[in-house]
Amino acid sequence: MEDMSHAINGRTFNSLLKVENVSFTYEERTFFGAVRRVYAVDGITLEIKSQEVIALVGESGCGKTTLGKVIVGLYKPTSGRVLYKGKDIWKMHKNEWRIFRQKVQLIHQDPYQALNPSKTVFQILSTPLRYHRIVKSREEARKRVEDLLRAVGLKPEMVLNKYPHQLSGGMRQRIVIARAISLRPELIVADEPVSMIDVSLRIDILNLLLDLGNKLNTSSIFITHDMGLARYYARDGRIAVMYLGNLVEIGPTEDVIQRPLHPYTKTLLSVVPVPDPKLARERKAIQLRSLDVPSASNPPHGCKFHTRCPFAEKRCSQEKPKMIEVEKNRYVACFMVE
Amino acid sequence: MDSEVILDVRNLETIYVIGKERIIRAVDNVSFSVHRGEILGVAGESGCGKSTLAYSLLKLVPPPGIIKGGEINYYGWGNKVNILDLPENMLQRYRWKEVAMVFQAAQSALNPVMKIMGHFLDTGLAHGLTKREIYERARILLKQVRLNENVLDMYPHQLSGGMKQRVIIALALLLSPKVLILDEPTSALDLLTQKNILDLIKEINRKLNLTMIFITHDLSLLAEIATKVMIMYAGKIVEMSPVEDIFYNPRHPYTIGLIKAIPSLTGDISTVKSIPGEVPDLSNPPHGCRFAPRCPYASKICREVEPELENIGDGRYVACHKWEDI
Ligand SMILES: Nc1ncnc2c1ncn2[C@@H]1O[C@H](COP(=O)(O)OP(=O)(O)OP(=O)(O)O)[C@@H](O)[C@H]1O
Ligand SMILES: Nc1ncnc2c1ncn2[C@@H]1O[C@H](COP(=O)(O)OP(=O)(O)OP(=O)(O)O)[C@@H](O)[C@H]1O
Ligand code: SF4
Ligand SMILES: [Mg+2]
Ligand SMILES: [Mg+2]
Repeated sequence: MEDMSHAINGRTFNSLLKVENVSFTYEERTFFGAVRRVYAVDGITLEIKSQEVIALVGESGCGKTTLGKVIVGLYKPTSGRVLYKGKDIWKMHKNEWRIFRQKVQLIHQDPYQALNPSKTVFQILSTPLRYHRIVKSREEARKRVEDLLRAVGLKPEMVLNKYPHQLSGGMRQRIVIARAISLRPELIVADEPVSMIDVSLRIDILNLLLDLGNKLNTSSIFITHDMGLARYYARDGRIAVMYLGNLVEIGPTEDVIQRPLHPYTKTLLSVVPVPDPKLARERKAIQLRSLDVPSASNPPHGCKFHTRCPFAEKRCSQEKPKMIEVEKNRYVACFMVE
Repeated sequence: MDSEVILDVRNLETIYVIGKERIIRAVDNVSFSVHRGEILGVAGESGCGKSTLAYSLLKLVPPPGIIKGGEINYYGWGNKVNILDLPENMLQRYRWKEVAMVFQAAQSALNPVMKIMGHFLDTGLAHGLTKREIYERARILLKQVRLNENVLDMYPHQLSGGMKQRVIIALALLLSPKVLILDEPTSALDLLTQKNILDLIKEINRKLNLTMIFITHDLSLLAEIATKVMIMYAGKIVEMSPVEDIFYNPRHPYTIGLIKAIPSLTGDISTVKSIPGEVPDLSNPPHGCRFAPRCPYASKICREVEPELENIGDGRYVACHKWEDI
């Protein structure tokens, strides 16, 4: 583990990465040849500080994965900028780009896609090390891979020569994490990293990610639709809530969970199941005006939540609310909270 | 709660035979009873045998699965009838009319080129209802699940996930069953829709006094909906108790571990932790108690003798040698 702590070259950056008014639109050809646009990410601004932990939450289809892919440079935003240490990543020179791709890593949502089934664990972990010239010889690669495996809680001799299908789901996810940290990243975007893991083992994997982040001074963005897991993972960080391609609220995690300000966050938290029969039966869920989630290819005007929001007024359907710091460190996009 | 038993399962064993060497004991010597009007919640991690148990109750286990032993006694006809002894023609009168089921991932089973009315007709005609009766019932049922009757004239793709799930629940109620099994009825839905479906299920349970078995991998859901909770681990029932006891005073180390492993919005986040070890392979489960390799309380007897599901009073059942010390 020792040598990995050099990951941040002694310099601290207040802002590590910033997405600035970023949008991403998918274009699909429909059956009849027309173009259908899906506004998956729509004008999001978000800054990740060095060593910061952020949980990105929201319901299925709200654009979390798309935003994650924009952040790591897999998708080029339709508009807006992604700044890494102040530099627009889409205007980088080849060499800067290579370093960026090394320093910002994505853990994919789909674990079956993540590992090449025809390669052994050693091959999977050593290839990127050699490609990025982090190791120079096979010997060095072997030593480094063994260190990595130990860092993620696996016994090297047990897994080194195994293929992914010979490992349990939990072990596979540890390999994915080992690969993500092997290039000494400064930011890890982990997209639902435990959704395929047994419930009784999820916290172990999250603890592993948190511990490694602390040791290596890595920032992380944890994407999840599970509010309980978000609360756990980002307990020392912030939580960012998405709705239909927009960010609606961001703030210190426990503050937001205990006292949500945006109507959508309030509604969402009022329906998360709680493991307490008395509380579960007493508490009142906030009733929405409609259960139907509008389509991301034809989103409502104004505040995108106004079609369902119990507090909506006329203005909400006409103007789009901006993200405003309504209290210290708490940003909300809602006219009723301003 | 009415204490009359409607389903009584004794020593049920359902296995999947994969080749000569591999037998998966998905439901292994399971006994429990379901009382009229209750909502029995069944929880456990992926692969512990929840769906297999549900299929077994309808005697519909898909191959290579077979029910190897035990009894499923049904009391809905007045006297006791072991479903596993029924001839096929009698089973037709049991399935859907007496015990109906909403299958896991049922939404994708709706026929995409058939209107919703067609689905009601298919099920109804197969069970001897007339078109007129089916239409009448469908309208009443859609109202019950709070859908507009014009849904009957729509194709599945025109409905949202929550609407589809409500249609499926209405379909399962077409033949007025006395017991409804719901296998993960909300897992494909967003949280807001899930809440809506849960409320609906509770309302149907109350209004129709329908007995329900609600299966989920999300234990927290059961705090809201169940009256009694069964916890399964590796093909076995490890604990079954009234819902308050499961959450406020769990007795089995696995139940305790599972509750501690799930971070909630209300509980103390600093005490959350995983259960060490891994879920056992059901084709080669550990000797003695299946949870012993992961259990913090395990001793010699746990590794040698399999604990029975024991009645510890007040409607509570636990399969653990050490429950009194925990
Ligand atoms: N490759 C694609 N082509 C077209 N539309 C897409 C594509 N990928 C995603 N979308 C759409 O973009 C929107 C955002 O999807 P995204 O996968 O980012 O959501 P998500 O929040 O990650 O959802 P989940 O929680 O289900 O993973 C959705 O409406 C989705 O249908
Ligand atoms: N058709 C099948 N053939 C072989 N094995 C099967 C089959 N169906 C289930 N199994 C095995 O039986 C065991 C129990 O599976 P089952 O589907 O009943 O679990 P479950 O608790 O419903 O899981 P989940 O929460 O994932 O739905 C598992 O080990 C599974 O792999
Ligand atoms: S029987 Fe033993 S091993 Fe099994 S749960 Fe109880 S104490 Fe643990
Ligand atoms: Mg996603
Ligand atoms: Mg299942």
